Amino acid sequence: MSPRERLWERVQAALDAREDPLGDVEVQALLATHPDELEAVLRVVDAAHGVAKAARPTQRRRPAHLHVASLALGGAAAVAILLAAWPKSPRRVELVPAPEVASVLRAEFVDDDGRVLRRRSVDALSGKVITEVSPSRLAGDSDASYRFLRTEFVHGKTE
Amino acid sequence: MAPEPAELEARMAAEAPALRDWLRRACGPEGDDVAQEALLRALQSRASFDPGRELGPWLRTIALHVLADLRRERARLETELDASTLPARDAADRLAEGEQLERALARLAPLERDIVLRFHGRGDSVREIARALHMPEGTVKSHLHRSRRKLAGLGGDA
Repeated sequence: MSPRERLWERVQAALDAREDPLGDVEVQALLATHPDELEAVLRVVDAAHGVAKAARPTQRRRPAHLHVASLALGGAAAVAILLAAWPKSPRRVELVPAPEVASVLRAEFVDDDGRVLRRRSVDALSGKVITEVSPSRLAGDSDASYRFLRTEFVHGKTE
Repeated sequence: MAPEPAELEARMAAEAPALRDWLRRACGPEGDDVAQEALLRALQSRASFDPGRELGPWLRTIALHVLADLRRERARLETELDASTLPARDAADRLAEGEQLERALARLAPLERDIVLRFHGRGDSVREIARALHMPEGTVKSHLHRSRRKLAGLGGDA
């Protein structure tokens, strides 16, 4: 079996097992030696996920006993909610962020002279990008080196 | 438990050159951008990293997903959506993706389409499909593998 055939065998086997082919160490190694197959592999993985994604809202199969169980659980939950809510007066709950909890994670790429190549701030809890700055691009200058990574947590406020 | 940022940062710094070399081999100069994006994403999702595992494969997996996202985004831009439709872009994208998928499924032979929809759409196992269609599991897998390639716009055989 050629390495190329082996690559496709591993990709298809991972998809058959409903695993991520891109996380397979052997697939990763084979892609590095056969970069011309990378595009095709990404497209096949995407196509397989596309069918699953398109079918998800309506066709995902659920065994009948799970339907019965979820109905029973739903009923029990409704009764529990009613019982809990009925006699008590409503109580207000406020969520206040603790000042010592970091809310923003800032990461930077700097070159050997300390110049910032790229900076990103993300919400430490949700992972959402808050700011993204790329003063200069590294791509295209293949000999340039960068040092990764300077990170810091910023406490209590976003930028 | 997620590793401390400083600990992960040090391990990532050590792994960064290998990741960049690997990506340059796999996708050329674009690999630099992908490496940076992958490292940033890895840091953002550090909670999902098991410190007992090797960092390299985890980073490469993230990098391949970054690359897949970039390809998808590029393909989306190539659909030449008019600027006036931008607010409705997500809906339009989903519609376009759905139509594209439908066309690709329509191009499959009926048996291949049936098998793909049973496996990826309904979540049936290969064994269940083989039993339902009265054929060996190996034959189901062959159809499945060929169909995936066809759906991706490639030839049926690797």
